[in-house]
Amino acid sequence: MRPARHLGLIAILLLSIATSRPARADELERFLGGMSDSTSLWFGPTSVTFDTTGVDSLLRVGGNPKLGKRSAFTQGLHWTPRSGFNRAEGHSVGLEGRFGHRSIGELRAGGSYGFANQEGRYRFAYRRELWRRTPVGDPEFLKRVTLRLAYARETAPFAPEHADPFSSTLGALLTGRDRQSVYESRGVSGAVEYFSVGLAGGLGYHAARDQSMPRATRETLWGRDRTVPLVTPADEGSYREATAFLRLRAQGGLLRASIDGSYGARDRWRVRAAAARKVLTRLGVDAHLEAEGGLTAREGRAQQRFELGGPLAVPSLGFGDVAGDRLLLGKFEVVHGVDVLRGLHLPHPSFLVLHPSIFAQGGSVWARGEGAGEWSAPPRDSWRGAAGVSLVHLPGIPTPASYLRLQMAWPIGRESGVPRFSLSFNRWFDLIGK
Amino acid sequence: MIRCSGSTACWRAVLLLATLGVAGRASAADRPKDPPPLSRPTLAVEDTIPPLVAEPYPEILVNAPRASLDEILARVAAGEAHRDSLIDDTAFTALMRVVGHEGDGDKARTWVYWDAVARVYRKRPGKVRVIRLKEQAYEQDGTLKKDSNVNVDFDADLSEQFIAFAFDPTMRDRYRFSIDKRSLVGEHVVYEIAFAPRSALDPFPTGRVWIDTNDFVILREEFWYRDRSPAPLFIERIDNCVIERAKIDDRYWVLSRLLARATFSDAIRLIGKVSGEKVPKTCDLAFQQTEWIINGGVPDSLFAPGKK
Repeated sequence: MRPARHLGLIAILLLSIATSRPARADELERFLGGMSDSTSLWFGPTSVTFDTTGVDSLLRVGGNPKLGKRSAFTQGLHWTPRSGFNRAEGHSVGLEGRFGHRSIGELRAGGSYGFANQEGRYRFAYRRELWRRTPVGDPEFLKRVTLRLAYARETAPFAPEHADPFSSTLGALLTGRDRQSVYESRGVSGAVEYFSVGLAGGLGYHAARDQSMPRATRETLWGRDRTVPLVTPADEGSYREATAFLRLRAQGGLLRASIDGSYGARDRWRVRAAAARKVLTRLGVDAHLEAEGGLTAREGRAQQRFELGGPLAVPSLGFGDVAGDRLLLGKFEVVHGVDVLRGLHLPHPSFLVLHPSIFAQGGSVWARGEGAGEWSAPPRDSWRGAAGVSLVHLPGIPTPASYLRLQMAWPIGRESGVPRFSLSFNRWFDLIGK
Repeated sequence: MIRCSGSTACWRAVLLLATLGVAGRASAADRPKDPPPLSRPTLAVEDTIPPLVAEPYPEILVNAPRASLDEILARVAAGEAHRDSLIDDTAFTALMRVVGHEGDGDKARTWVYWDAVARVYRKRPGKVRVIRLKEQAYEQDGTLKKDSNVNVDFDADLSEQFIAFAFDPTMRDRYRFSIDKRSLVGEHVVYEIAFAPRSALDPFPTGRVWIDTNDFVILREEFWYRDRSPAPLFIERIDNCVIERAKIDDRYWVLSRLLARATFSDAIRLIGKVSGEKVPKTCDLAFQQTEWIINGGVPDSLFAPGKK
């Protein structure tokens, strides 16, 4: 090739490099900027413009002296009122304070006073995170280990897994017929708990003294009622026991299971397991299935027995209608996401969204047979069942899973109670983690 | 046929077309006689590059499977986690504003309810320092209020995992996802992915995100609660919540702006009226993070108590 042609080719090559455009890095910026401008237009200038006059000067001097320092104490302190009503305490009023700070953990202290039995109740609790692992650079999940300690003198319900304090309070106040029995427990407890998204577990210790709480009042909202039932007496005495629990959560919370137990002595132990499944359909309908089983010592404390009755376990029965040291319970519910009041064109406040549901529950409690092993099949005549309809409202507090349920239950089978109307405040998967 | 004037750009266009032509002829020779069965992954059809010449490009059959939606979702979760891992310390100026709206049409009124500016420093593990520079609340008529009822705090968490809430692997079963659009923006392929909760009873929002498939990071997110509310006692609806990100130092995608508009329920407005606090019907929350310094080496002494 002639030198001139060489030079020509070199010139073309250099020209190509000199005039070649680099990848336009601002194209993505312009793409996003266009959408950002539309967003600013939609929200309006007042919402997207900030006044930063004098901010640089203030930063140079270390902050705005007029703003002062926020007290870490007042920022971390929260108060919650407490109130209730039952036939063993009457009206009770109290207050709980909670203070949390990164450096010390969380302290809770609360107390209440029952005007009918003229007794006070208190609870001091401490919670501190012992270990935490926040994965970085990996789509794993937060894990933590927590220490919990408590000293309390409190009023506890029989069969706590099926208790519904809201429903009991309303029933006691409005009709006087509520039969949820309670007892006093005074003692200490401690536990170390592990938590991650799919698995939670803990080991603990509990030492307390239980005492009966007799009926202290026959008052209702409408006056004195002679038919207010007695309180089932608790087995009194001191005890010490080890406690443990395990909870599993899978499929984004659609599948859950739990097992919890306590062991104090051969005649003082309790094991309970529950599983729940939520099935989502394309029809706007959710189906909930829950199952529960439990065993406790045959001669164990009355307050540790399993019971059927109340809004959470065969709602056509009243609290404590049937009890035993073995339990089997199954629940099925179908809830529709439609807003009933809007669908019926009924005027209503916008926050009152009610979802319809139908449900069926069935279970059995029975006593361990003489001479039989720990497990014996439930007698045929021990089965109780109920079915009904309900309206569910999701207020979003205290948790997104909390609901207010208005339900009407009809008995299925013999000795399954009476048609019963109830109002309960609980959460989805109410048998898990109690 | 293309007539080339000899300019460099023209030569490069010719080379590009020649390459594609050769590739097209080669693939045409290898093209299977029968179309692939429907059970195989979708074959790619180029629909994002605008036509450069009058004749359309020939279809090119690609045997490699297209990334499935599940793979994309998993990559987004991994991409967000990787994004978090790149950052050890940050400093930024936070601009915050709450704006109230009342009335419609001619009677519409807008006023600034609360305004604040703070400089925030964060460093791994678990250190945070907030220097408050400005904070003011206003009455509806614009006069200054003595006390503000708004309290904003910053924690030490450097991650922005809340942005990818729908892509959390533990939450994926609760959402329905779909790819709404693919756009070619410069050298980036941007996916627009829509998500909606599978259950009408779940307190989760509906929305969409824009993903840059170069690093599978969320560039922009919009979500809303228009037909349901997470807390109907307090909030009637959230018309729109927009999260925007910006790239800092040509490397780190960080939250640059968050804007949300919520309509309060009659119940909370009544409670506000009784307690003497006028709650607006609709409220905008604006949050902007600017003047970023990332991995600039924030000294530990800045986090010592009493330090200015």
